[in-house]
Amino acid sequence: MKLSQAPFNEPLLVIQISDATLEIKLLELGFGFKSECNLVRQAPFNGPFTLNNEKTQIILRSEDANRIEVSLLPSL
Amino acid sequence: MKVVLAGNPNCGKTSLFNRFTGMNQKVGNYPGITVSKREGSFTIDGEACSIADLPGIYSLYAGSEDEKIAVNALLDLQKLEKPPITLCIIDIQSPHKNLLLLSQLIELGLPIIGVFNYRKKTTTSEVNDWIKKLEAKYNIPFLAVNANSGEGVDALKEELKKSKNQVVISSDPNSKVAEFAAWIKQANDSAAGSNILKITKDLRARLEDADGSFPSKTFSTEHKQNSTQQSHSKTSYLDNLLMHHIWGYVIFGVSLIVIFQAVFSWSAYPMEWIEEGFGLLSSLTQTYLPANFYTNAISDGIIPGLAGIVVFVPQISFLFLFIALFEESGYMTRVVYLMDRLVKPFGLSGRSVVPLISGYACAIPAIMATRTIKNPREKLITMLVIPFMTCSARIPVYTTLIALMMSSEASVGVFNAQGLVLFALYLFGAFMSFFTALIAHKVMKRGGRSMLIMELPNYKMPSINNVVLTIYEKSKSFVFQAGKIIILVSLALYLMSNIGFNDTFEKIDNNETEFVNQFTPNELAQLKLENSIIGQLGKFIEPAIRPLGYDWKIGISLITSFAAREVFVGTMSTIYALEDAGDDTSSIVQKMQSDKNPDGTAKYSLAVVLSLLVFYALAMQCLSTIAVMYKETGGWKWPSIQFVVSTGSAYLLALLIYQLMS
Repeated sequence: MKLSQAPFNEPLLVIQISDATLEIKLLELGFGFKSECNLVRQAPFNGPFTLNNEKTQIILRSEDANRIEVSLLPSL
Repeated sequence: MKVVLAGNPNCGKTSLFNRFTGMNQKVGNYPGITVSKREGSFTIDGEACSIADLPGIYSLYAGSEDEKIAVNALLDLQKLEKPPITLCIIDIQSPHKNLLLLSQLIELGLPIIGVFNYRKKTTTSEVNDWIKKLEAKYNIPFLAVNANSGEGVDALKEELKKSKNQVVISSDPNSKVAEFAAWIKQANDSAAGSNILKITKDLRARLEDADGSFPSKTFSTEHKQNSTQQSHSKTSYLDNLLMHHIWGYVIFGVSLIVIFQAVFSWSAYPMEWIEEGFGLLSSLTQTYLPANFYTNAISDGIIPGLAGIVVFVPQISFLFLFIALFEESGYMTRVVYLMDRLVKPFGLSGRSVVPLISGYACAIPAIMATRTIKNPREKLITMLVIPFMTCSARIPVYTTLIALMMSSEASVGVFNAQGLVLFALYLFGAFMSFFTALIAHKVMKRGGRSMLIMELPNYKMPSINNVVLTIYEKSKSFVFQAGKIIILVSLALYLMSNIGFNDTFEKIDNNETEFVNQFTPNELAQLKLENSIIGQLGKFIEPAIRPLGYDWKIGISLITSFAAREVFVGTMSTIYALEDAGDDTSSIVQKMQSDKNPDGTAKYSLAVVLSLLVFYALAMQCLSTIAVMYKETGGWKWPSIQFVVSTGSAYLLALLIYQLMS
């Protein structure tokens, strides 16, 4: 599923990033292919999402979240 | 010895820079461009060392303009026979990302010291474990410092002393170092897309390697989780409130109101002391220096002009205090999150919000700050509308004009009425910014896709050292930049006010009885000013500004304040000090309030004051901003459009207001 459609506060695995420039930026911040993350919240009116892993928290726009494919990881 | 600081954004680089340099620092520009360049100096055992703080980067693959500056500066170092020592700062809270850059810097062959920046809660054993592991892996020295408290800085200086003769890896063009440098250059120079696969491959490999660098799994995981959980829980708790879809905006709005009230009310006392101090200085100059033309030029020209600027330092300091607190605490990025969607319809991005808010302080650094906006169209729109935001140079003009309209004790409920008018003017500036942005967004050709990806730093207590240095540096540059213009303008004004070429001026100047007996001393002073060069110049433009309700005196101030807005108050102070012929020590506001039209009505009526407020809110009256726009856009096209649109709309709206109200 697309990251923008993923449930909040569930463990997710990044399985594909369909934009190479976006992937470089995400890699630099520690959110590359096969990385685990959580969708935390979204600003009103379809605003940016906040996404975190155990090291970092980032914000990204919903249109960029649409370019990231994730799968749900089983909860611990 | 030369030292360079490199590292990720928010890793504590600037705190360490401040710790090293204290007050011995200057913020300039890189040659030909406007990304700020922080340089400073310090000593190690009496030996002078220079230090430069590069813009924050995550890797050597630069995206934005300021990232390119940092990467190019590092690539240039690599070409030197004896490059400066590069301190690569690694935030202990997120070493993973920082190791990515470190591994690239090491591969560039630069002499490097790895510096872990830790905070109070980090355990010594955790830091030591990291250092042991990385020293073995990379064979370069690593140290730990607490940039906020200064702990470990002396040991770092010792290490710098030891490392100053460190041998650099061969500059042989066929070496791996040269090959890597050539690749980085190619990756950054080439058209987007052509090297992307190789870049992502390199980054992935380095990240995997960084993962393997984590100290012994059981130890590090435990500590990492502890520290991450602690900071995450505190940050999560605050984020739940500050990024809340309702409370987030309420808190942001309230904090803006608090800032404006503070700028107005808290700074009133120091402003009064400064005004009294300059008044005293002026009297002392008159008393103790010989009575001649030069003494008058100092006491009635330069001192009142300078007082008109220095008096606003408290207000500017308060504004920068809040901006520094927002940035230092990590709150500014939350503002980007809250505002991005709201500003997007105007062709702006969440990243535009920080430059726009900085525009409340000064348009020059704000325009420089747009370098972090990657999309050229969003960047241009942001730059074009920043000058409408109420910069600190407008505060002197606004406070003087507002004081003409109402008493400082007037209040609406618990709020000071003057503060509320100032708040309304700030809102008006912001409204005009967004309105203009919307028009530009509709009119300008669409550019490429815009992206907003930012790290949300954990909240932290702002470092007092950093906040104080920011306030000091910003206030100093305001006073010195404006001060230079003010001294010249004040002196020129004084000279032009005391020189005239018509008969009336000469007769008054020669104290001819015909005039001395006919007029009071105040009337004589006014007549003299009217017939001086400056008076004639003001009168020359009077037909153009009369429909706005302005007389020749305001005309003089309008001419001089095209150099910088704040010159308005200095000019008015000089004109009114000159006009009253000496003994009246009442403040500039009182003097302006008591100025009457020939029919006995107040010269500064509500219609005139509101018209002036609108004119100063919109007109492009800052040579430095025009210069920065020229540099930033690489030509005169956009600064010219900006000047014509701003000043044209200022004239028309001021005209409309005066004509409707009078």
